[in-house]
Amino acid sequence: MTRLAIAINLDRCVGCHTCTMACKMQNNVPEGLLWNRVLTTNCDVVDGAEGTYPNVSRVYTPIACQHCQNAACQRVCPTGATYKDEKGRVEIDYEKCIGCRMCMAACPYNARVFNWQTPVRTTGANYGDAAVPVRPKGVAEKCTLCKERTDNGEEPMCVVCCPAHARIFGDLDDPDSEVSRLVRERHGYQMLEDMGTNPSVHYIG
Amino acid sequence: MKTAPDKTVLQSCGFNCGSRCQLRLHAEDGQVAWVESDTGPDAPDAPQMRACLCGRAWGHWVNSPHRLDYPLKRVGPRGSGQFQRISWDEALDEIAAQIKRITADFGPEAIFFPYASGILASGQSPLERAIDCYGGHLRLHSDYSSAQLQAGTMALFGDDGYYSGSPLEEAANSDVLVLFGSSMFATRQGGAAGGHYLNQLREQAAAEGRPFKVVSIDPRHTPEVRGAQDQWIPLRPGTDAAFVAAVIHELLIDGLADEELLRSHCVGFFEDTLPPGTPPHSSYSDYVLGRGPDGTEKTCAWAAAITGCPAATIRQFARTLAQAKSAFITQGWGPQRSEYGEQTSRAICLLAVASGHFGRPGTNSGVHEPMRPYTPSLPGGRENPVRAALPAFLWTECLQGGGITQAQGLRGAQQLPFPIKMIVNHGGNCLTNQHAAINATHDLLADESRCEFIVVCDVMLNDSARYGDIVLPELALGERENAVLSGFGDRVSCLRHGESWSHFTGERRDPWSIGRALAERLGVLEAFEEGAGDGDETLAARMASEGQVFAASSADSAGHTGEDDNGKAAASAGRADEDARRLPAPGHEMRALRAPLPCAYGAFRANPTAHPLPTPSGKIEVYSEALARMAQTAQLPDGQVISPIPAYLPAAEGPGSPTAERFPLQLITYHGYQSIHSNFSHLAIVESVMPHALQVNPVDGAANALVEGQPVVVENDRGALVARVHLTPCIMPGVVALPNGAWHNADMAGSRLDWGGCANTLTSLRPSPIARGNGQNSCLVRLRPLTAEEQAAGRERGYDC
Repeated sequence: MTRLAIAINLDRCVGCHTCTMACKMQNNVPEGLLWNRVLTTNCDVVDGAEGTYPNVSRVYTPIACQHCQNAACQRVCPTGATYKDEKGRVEIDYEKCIGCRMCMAACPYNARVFNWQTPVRTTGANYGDAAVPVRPKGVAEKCTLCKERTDNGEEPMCVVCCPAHARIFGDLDDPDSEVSRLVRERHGYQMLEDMGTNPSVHYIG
Repeated sequence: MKTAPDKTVLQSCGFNCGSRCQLRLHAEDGQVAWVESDTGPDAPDAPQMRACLCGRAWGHWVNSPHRLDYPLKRVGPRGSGQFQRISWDEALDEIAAQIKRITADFGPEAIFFPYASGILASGQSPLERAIDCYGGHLRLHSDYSSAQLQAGTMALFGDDGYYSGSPLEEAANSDVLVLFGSSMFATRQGGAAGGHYLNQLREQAAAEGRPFKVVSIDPRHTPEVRGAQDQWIPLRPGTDAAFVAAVIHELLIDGLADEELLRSHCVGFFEDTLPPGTPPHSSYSDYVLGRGPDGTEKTCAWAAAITGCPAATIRQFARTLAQAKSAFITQGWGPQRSEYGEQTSRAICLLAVASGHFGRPGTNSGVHEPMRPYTPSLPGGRENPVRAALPAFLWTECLQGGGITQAQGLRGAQQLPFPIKMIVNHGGNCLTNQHAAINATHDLLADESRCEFIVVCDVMLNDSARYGDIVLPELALGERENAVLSGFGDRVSCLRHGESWSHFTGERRDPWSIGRALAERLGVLEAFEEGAGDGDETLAARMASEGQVFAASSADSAGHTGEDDNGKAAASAGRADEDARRLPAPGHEMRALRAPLPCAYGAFRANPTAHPLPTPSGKIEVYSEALARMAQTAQLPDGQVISPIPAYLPAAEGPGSPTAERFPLQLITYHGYQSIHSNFSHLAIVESVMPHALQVNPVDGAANALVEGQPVVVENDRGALVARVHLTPCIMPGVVALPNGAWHNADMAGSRLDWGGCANTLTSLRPSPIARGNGQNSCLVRLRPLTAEEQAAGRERGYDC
């Protein structure tokens, strides 16, 4: 089997938000929506920090769809629009999505966004990779693990864009892949492991 | 599904950034559909030039609603932004007529090109070249980046500090990295810049079991401070020299200073090395030990009261330095951007010398990591016949009354014969946005009896462009065929031949053709084209001159010179001079690692007689006679002084100054991830990903009853702006910070309240004493909530408040 995954090395992430921007550009993510966000651990604001002055620490934590093996969003989807594909990715069939947003309520990672309005693009230019389908008003969307790129054997945009090389992409089912090795050797962990969702995205550091 | 893109072109993110990363533009129906960056090979020692979030947003930038499409003529009051479209002929005829008139009536010294770096990636402004061929113009010296540091290191080491520091690679031999106001991650964000390399240094040290500690001395907590071994030492802005004095005091009294080095290689650290005839007790050691004219011993307790840094922390830092095998001490350009930035910058350098972490493996001289040399001008043209050079920051002072003299920092002439009568602002935003005291500056610019004519040539209608009497629309670097040297601040450098691509460009023109058309009207076309021709010939000349810099600064066959053939890289070893002949074809680039650079002043340390410094004495001038003389003759703003030694001098707007009673908070700006100077910061997409916010410590937040995200007015006697509050323990209490480059947005005929949050609405025109540089980080402010009236005005503008 194949289980495509990303391991994020938090020791390297500096919170520059390049992944957020590159994802938005690659996937034609409409104004006001983000598929990928950079949070700071244990903070509820952008660029937060833990501790009190001057003893502070700050761990940047990029978060997007975790591509769970036991995906809560998939379980609640009434139409089968959300599905798990043969490469271990959680994907959405936009044709089947009825906009009920059960998936958004179920996702413990707040990874999904919704097109309440007809998507707006700031410059008027329809930016984004030509192979990425444009989503209409009334559907949920989220990180596809850059399906259009990974289908072609390329790495997701957030991986290749990261100036700090914090993201490593590969197949978790292949024990010899770099991502498997890193998760194993550096004790990679999953976000909200106790939820039982079994994400493919792992964090290191 | 959309159709496949029409074209993919190789281009550069060509701003005044040390990186200028690779862009791959996917054009569709004449628009940039999306932007990819470097997709070539990637290796730990030859990293890709990955663009940061700004480069990724380049499609939005180039299609921004602020783009200039047609030549414009001002129809309202200057600065009102009221323009009317005119033809290129009308615009150029008017500009040529004004150049002729002003040169004839006032002389070429009355024509001024303010500091502008938008054109930097393409070399010298062709408008400047045309005017040089005609009659010339007033020169400027130094810049807005590091004027005070240049003057400080010139006094201390005899060079301007741009090229003399150790490369960050030297830190591979260090166990402590000391950052004074420096963030590698934020200053240049691309994949080949210092941030990624710092991560590698850390990981390498960890893998080898070596200690590697980062100490960041900064009012802001930066991402360089990571693990438990690292340390953040916050200091009040502008007090670094007091901190250094106390650290050196500690080292001296404990016998931990490198006294041998300070005696053999320095002038005036100790009394017995002072130049003959110097007043007694004017050495630096007497200053710190309390035997100087002020009679104050520079103890940790003394410094604690000034810097806000506990005495124990200062003491502990002195121990860290003393115990370090090799400390790499460096500084960003924020600390020196203050009223006494010359003192700050050379005090930091002196710390490297006094602690002995100087001139040997793993050390630096205290300056910023070195750049590659800038690209020279194209051959030919005429040399500007005017010798007078104004400090870059002083043009507003010149507009106020003219008559700037040598005693006020003018070089090349005793005095300016006339005030500035014409401004040509090509690719810059330093008329208002990136200058200082925008409201006062507006009044000077708006008064047409002072500066009679302003030409702006730019890609965007930025705040400075609004002051143009004639505004010329320029093609952006990335939308025309070009030769770009990228990575002049990075480990990897690249000579890139960017391709042109078909898309809507209105009547935008290539800068060379604009300069050429102007030269034609001035009757100097022959001189203008000499050595550089036109069209392909000019591009070839540009490529050749960039190629020379590339070859001279790149690794030779012993290094990793290779070429990237449009994605298919071949790691072929070749010599630098061969590279100079083998220039890349359109859509191609050449890449090489930077040539290895030596440790700063290593040769001087090893043998000061054989390798003297370019200072008058050949030594490190801790006591500078040149500055002592300048102190006698300089005409300074009220209360300002010049010290021959790197002593701490309190700024007019600093902690504890009388102004602080009314305006208790220090405002600083920093290089945010959201912009490269003022480029990109006006884009909605950038704001949505990385919002601008005023960083406020929760202590000050509570004192002002502020909550997260609340809009607040930041004000002083010079103006007021609105910013959203971000409460964070990552900034020192008593200090607030804004990312630089936000676009000024105010009704200048009305309230002048700046809804754009541009820090220079508040900053001061008071220049520093030695460089006459911009000291924007010496700025006191207070916070208050918006009044009901302001809230209503804000809502009318669409501001959520």
